[in-house]
Amino acid sequence: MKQVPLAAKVRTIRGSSRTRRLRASGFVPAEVYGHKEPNQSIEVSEKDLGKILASSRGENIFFALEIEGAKGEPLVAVIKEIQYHKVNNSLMHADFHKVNMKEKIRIKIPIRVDNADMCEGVKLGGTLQTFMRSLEVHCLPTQIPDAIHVDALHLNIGHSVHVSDLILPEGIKAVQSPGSVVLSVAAQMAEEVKAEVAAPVEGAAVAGAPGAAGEPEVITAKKKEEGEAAPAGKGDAKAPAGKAAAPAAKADKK
Amino acid sequence: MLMPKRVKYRKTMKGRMRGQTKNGASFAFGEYALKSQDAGYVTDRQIEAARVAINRHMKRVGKLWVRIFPDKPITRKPAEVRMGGGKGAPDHWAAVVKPGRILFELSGCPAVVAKEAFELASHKLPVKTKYLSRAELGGVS
Repeated sequence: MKQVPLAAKVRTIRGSSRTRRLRASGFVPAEVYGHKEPNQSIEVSEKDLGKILASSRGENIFFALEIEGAKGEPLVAVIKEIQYHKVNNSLMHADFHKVNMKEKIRIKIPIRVDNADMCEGVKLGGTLQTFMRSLEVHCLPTQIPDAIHVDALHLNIGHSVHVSDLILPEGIKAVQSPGSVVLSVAAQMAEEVKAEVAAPVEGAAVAGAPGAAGEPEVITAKKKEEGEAAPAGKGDAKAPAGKAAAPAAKADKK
Repeated sequence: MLMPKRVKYRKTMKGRMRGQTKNGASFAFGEYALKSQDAGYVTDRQIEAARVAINRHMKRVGKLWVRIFPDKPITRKPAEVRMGGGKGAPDHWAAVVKPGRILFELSGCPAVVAKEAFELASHKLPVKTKYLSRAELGGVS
């Protein structure tokens, strides 16, 4: 794992409007924590952090945080969480977790699929589906690999790779359960129109399909009918026509 | 066309579309995505038209996920009817989409093909959209 220097300043700014102004000036609010020490609020350049993250391709990086005015050596930290803007995907906030090289940490490692194009199942018309893009592991910071590689060359249609099948370097333990599926090869959809509409969304009905009415079933309407029918049914067997009987009663009164 | 199987009420109030999307703003399944930049109602027909456009361009290679569902009934009054007399009859279904919502996701195809497919799909939609790729956002998420 490579170590990248990153300049940071101590942040005294608090509150949403001030933070918004900070972001507008090209900085990202961030937090450094870990090892039972108090949190430290910092700000880093959006341009610098963005460049490092874009070049990392999802791999973990040790950041050597050079905090302005701080004594001693730069703080070594990894990114714990990053928040992006929902609409324009700009950096909103970063969490840095301090690293002690002698203590084990939990960290996510990217899973890279090799020979995805040469996969046997894909050649036969199947689709390679990736269910897990990163694996959470427990290991020493010095043992963190750049990525975990999975070979998809011999995967056929219906075959899958589980966490237990992954070859992890020595000293690294997966946090996720061994039975979790990493990737699989699914068969091609036979009929795109009929199958795909209903498949991705649960609770969906297809209009025009057999059994589907123009309007969906209304839950509350059903309850009302039952509520009306139940008390009437006690005394009179012919009561289900309760609604029709009511207007007639009104007419008699008049 | 997509629609719910069962609903609690036949008609709903119009509501307002303020702010950004609450959920569904990040990748969940695929490698490429189409993200909404506007707020609006995306009707069942529009979702279907966009889906068909993507699948036609992909030539059934890869996998598509539709991340929105039309669960809001939209009512219409008949033509040439005076105002009043109660709410109109349910006419169609729509998904309420706010800025930042991912509409479709794709995987198992080259980025160029995905971009072209989403371009075709965006012509069928009433909202401004943006193409996203997981790799451009920094890999894993």
